[in-house]
Amino acid sequence: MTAVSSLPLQRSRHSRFLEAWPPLTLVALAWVALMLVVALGADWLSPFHFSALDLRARLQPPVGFGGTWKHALGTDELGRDVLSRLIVSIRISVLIAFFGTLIAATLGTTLGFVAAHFRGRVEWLILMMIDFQASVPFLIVALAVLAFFGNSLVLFVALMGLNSWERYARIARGLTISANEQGYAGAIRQLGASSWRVYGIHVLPNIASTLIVSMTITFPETILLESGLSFLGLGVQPPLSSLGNMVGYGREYLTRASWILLFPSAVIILTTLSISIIGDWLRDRLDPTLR
Amino acid sequence: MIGYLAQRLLRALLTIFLVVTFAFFVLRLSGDPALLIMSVDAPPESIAAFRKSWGLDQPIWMQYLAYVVHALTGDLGNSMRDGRPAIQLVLERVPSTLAITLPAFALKIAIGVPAGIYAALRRNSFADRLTMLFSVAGFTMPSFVLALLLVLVFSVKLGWLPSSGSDGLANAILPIVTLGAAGAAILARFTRSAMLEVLGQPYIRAASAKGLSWRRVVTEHALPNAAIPTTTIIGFMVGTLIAGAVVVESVFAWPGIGRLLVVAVANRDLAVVQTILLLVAMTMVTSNIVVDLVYGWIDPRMRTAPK
Amino acid sequence: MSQPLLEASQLTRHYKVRRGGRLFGHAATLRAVDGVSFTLRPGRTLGLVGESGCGKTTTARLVLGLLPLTSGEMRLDGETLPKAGSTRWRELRRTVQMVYQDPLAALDRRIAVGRQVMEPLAIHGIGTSTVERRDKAMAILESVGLQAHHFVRYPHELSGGQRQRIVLARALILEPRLLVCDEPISALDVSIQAQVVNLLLDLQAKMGLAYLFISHDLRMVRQVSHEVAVMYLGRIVERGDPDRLFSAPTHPYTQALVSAIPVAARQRRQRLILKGDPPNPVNVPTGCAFHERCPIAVAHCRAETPLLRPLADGREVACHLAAASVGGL
Repeated sequence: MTAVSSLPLQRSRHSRFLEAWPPLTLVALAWVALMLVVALGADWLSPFHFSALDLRARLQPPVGFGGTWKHALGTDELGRDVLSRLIVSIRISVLIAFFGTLIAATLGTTLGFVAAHFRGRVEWLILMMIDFQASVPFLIVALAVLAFFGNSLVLFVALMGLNSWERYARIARGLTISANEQGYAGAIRQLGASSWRVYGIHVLPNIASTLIVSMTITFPETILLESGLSFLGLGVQPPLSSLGNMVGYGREYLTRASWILLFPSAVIILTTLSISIIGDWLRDRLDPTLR
Repeated sequence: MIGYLAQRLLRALLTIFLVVTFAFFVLRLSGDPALLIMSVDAPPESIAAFRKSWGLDQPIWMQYLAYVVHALTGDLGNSMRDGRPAIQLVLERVPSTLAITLPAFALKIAIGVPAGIYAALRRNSFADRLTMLFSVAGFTMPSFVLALLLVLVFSVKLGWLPSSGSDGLANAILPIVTLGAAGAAILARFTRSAMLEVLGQPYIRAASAKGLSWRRVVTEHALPNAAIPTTTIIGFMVGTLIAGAVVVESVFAWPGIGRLLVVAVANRDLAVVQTILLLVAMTMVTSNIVVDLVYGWIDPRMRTAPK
Repeated sequence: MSQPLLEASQLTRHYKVRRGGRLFGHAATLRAVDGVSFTLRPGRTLGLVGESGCGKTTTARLVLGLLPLTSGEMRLDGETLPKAGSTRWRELRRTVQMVYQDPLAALDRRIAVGRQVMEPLAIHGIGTSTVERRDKAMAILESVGLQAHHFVRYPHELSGGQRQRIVLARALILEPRLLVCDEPISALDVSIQAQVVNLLLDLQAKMGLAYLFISHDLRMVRQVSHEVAVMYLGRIVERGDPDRLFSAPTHPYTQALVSAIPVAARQRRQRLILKGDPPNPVNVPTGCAFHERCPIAVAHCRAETPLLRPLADGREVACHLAAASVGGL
């Protein structure tokens, strides 16, 4: 009797769990968590130093394709362990994308607030910058800047941060203007609150979910941009290694040792895909108005 | 309408002017082109001669003015590598780029739009999910990865198609497919959501409720309305044709503008990079204007002048 | 008679707009508020009525100092209202507060309403401890007719009337002397409207509040106001005692408004239906702004703008023909 009656309850609890946490989303979350662990623990996780040469074991295939467990994902043309390089590349790519996204979000949101707060000429100037940003594909701008300024990691990250700031600026400006004109922000200001209180305590938490959803869009974009530039040899420079330049250098061994580029390619796709899935899920959960 | 168009054109010109200015200053501030382009052990007098011949000994604002004046007359400087006019170098690559981007563009529309409409009409069906899966995969996959995978399968394993070069028609197939697939994925997703948005509107329910057949509801009410945002996104895709080709042309060694850009950037060939930036900006700006005009034409709400 | 709390003299707010395209259109002026004057004494209510777009809300925003004046002057206790956002302006928020049309929009959806009621105290540094502020907020909640358990609720969990009470509580916790109510009841259910209006009247009696009460609901305005001003296209066209003004309107526009009030009993009353819409405030007609829609306009009305003139019964009206038509229809 108890077993029978508790069954539907359990099933409904089960299905409610699946509704809140779809399996695909769980997989995506797990993958992103794994990437974060790898990025943070790269030094402990990699079996070899990422640039350690083993000239006797060059172009060794991965396990299952005639390789050994010593180099589980095989080795490259210089006998460097692909797994170790992959781990370090994940760290670099994730860090660049993370800081790039963070810079873009901070910069864009701030400029959006500034535009909405001052209106008038300041707003016009910021809108002009947004237009400008949108009128030239960023890959082209980045290419030009990187090649002519040379290429340090700091500059590169800063450049990634300039990639999608205009998306945040648009969102922050739009939501802030409406909150100021007929919403809570105007009401709080009317109570005599300082701008700091209005934006920091009220507007920012209110638009945070929309901004976070936007971050799940720009994070994969940043990874793609970084890997694209690195692939062209203009992003992360050796001896450092990122997912994009692993693919780029692995390209020459496409016919003989395709594993060199297949593993980083798979990591790029799985990571961007996972974040997109998480983004869709977050959007449904946090911000049904955004659809 | 005339006023609007004039305003739009003015903003477009302003944007292009900003791009030119940005390109000029960013590139010039990055370093002395003479030192970048001459070999390290070049004698100082030849460096000085180089500077003089390129006007690099002038103050930067003089160089800028000279550049703008020349640009207005169509002279965008000469390539520092082989001395030919940059504009000529760039323009002779245009047909090559168009040869792969235009078919790719047709492919995007031919696949993306019908797929998106179909997915929306069969929402949550297996076909819908499959389309969306491909679509998500299509735009989370970097184009170079897709390109290399295609090469791996069709050139390396199957040996059907050449992996690079530009000797014949066969060479163009993989670049076209690469460019087309990514665009189709984006377009399918966008069309689907535009269509779903329209299908959720009250007038669609009203049209079905008054007894119109579903086919007519879709063709007469849903499709024309979903066409409005879809046309916009297609228009914006025109603007990104060149940028999208940069990576793909590099992978396939296709001699288009994208590849020229990468080579010019690697060679620090200022004039060529500036010319390509200008060309890209002009394509983007022009396509945005065209999108706006088309928008006004297909969306009756825009036709009557508001306010 | 007590000192006026609020003196508005010749409040004017114009907007520069461009007609016909932003670039080649000619500059024009939108006269949102065009020379509005009134005074408000402590404990009194001024009702402001008119069609939408007549400048009521702009007037409210000018009174609050949320919009800069094009010309004219606002005095609060004899002090000219400083620029919005300045320190002094923020201090003056303790004197003047506002109640909004849409209470849900005026509240922060992510913060429990009790904390929002407490927030003005933190903003103005009133009270030393959270406990003290909390007690004060609780007391105010009670005085607007809410209970302690509402303190931890979120705006979307409350009904429209309760939300409006929260907005009121948040304004009242600063112990203001003037409350600007911009359509405070029009977003509420009819059954709730009376409750909120009664609450406003109680609070006025208890706390000596002055209200600037903006509404298009003439019956509510009549019920709460000590004085009523009728606005048309940015100007006051008639002003006076609510009972007299509504029972015997003199300005043709007021007559039309009053005749549109639905009446319960079948009275024999002619409905005046105005021709057309209010003109665009960018193209205000010359002379009397109302002449195009006025049923009794004469040639003179087109030529000269009528000024507010006092009538024998103490009210003021801006109509060339008002003196002749006293007594109504």
